[in-house]
Amino acid sequence: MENKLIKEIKNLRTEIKPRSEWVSTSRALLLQQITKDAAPVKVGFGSYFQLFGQIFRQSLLEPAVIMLLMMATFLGSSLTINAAFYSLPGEPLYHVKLALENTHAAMTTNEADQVALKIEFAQKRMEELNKIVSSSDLAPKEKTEKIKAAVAELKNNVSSVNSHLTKISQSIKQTSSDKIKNEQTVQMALTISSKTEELFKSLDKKIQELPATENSEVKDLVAGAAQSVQDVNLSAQQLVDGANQTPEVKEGTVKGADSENSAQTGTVEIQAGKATTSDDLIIIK
Amino acid sequence: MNTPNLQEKLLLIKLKKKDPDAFAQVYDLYVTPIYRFIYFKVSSRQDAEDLTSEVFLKIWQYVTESEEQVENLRALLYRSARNIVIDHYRKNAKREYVRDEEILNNIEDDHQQSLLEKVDTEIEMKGIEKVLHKLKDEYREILILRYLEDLSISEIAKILDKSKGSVRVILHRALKVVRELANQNGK
Repeated sequence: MENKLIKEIKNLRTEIKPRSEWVSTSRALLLQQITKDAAPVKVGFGSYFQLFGQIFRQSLLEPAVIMLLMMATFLGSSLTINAAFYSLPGEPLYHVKLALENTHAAMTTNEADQVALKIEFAQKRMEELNKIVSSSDLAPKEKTEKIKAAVAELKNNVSSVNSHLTKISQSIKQTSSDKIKNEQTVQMALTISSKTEELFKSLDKKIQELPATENSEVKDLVAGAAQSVQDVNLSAQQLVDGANQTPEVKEGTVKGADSENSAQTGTVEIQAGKATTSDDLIIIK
Repeated sequence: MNTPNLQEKLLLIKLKKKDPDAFAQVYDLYVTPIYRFIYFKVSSRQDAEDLTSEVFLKIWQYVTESEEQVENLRALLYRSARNIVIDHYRKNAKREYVRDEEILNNIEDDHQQSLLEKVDTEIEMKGIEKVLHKLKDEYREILILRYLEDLSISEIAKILDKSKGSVRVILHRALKVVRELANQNGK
């Protein structure tokens, strides 16, 4: 209906037109009137240049400017992210780095993946700590502050891993029958265990490496972080043990069932023997 | 014919330089659409012709005398046409007020002639044209610009000095009213 109406409106083009005699008379009259007004000035090269400039600005420059702005925004944000990636505690972009990591973790829905990410972040904090300790450009006070910040963040990551592990162990107790899930959890707990062990060794080494001038507060902090890492390691190992125990019990049950089965099979065989006998009997009958 | 093209830009530059040939080209290009646009607003062929000529003369004066840069010649033509029609109605309203007293004494005056002419035109009209004439000016104008003259929404927005969004809304409402009127007419 709508299309039909639009078509009808369009058809009016052929129906509504000015009278041709009026068009020509009016044209002549108007031209007569305007030529009286002023003599024409020749269009020079400058005008064509102006036209070219106008067209260039509209059709080429404006899209180019938009493209450039888009590229600048994209490049700017990539550079910021890149710079943030290499930033150390105390630097302006360090908060951006942490925010990006948190966003990454928040976007991960799987509990195991989140744990893996948090461990990865903790390793990054360790790398930062290494860089800060080995840096010679920093003033002792600034260095101490940065070490404190990195260690505090490392502790945060490690405690977050621990809380995830607690959640996972609780969920395992509820779904102990899921063998595949249990295997995956064992695998994850083993990885965490080895990684936390590495972290603990690194932290322990760092405590030894810390210069004698460094105050005891920092050493205590690093030692505290090492302790947290060790706790996580212990939790991971407990999780491995817990997950291994459940299938073992199940395995025992299965084995029992198997022996029952074999016993049953024996019975079946005997029964079959009986049957054979009875069959024989039937045949004899 | 949706965006001001190179030919139009060139014509504008030549017009600015008071080139009568450029004016003639502009006239040849736009005389019919401008006439149609005005015709639907005044409903008298005579008035539509007079006002169309006035539009072209005004455009010549504006382009050659004004210092302002004209971006879109077509939009400028339609805007001028609108303003000239508004002025025409204002003048007529004043004239009718003066003539109210004379009308009783001289029944066969111009005004009566113009009324008779209007009645004749109404009788001549049929189908969608009749429906368009029943619409309020805002709806009719937008339908003509969009579907009869094939103008883009952004060009219509420039001519009517409205946002693109409101042009779309008015267009939608206008189509709805046309549909209702067409149904009433038993189409």
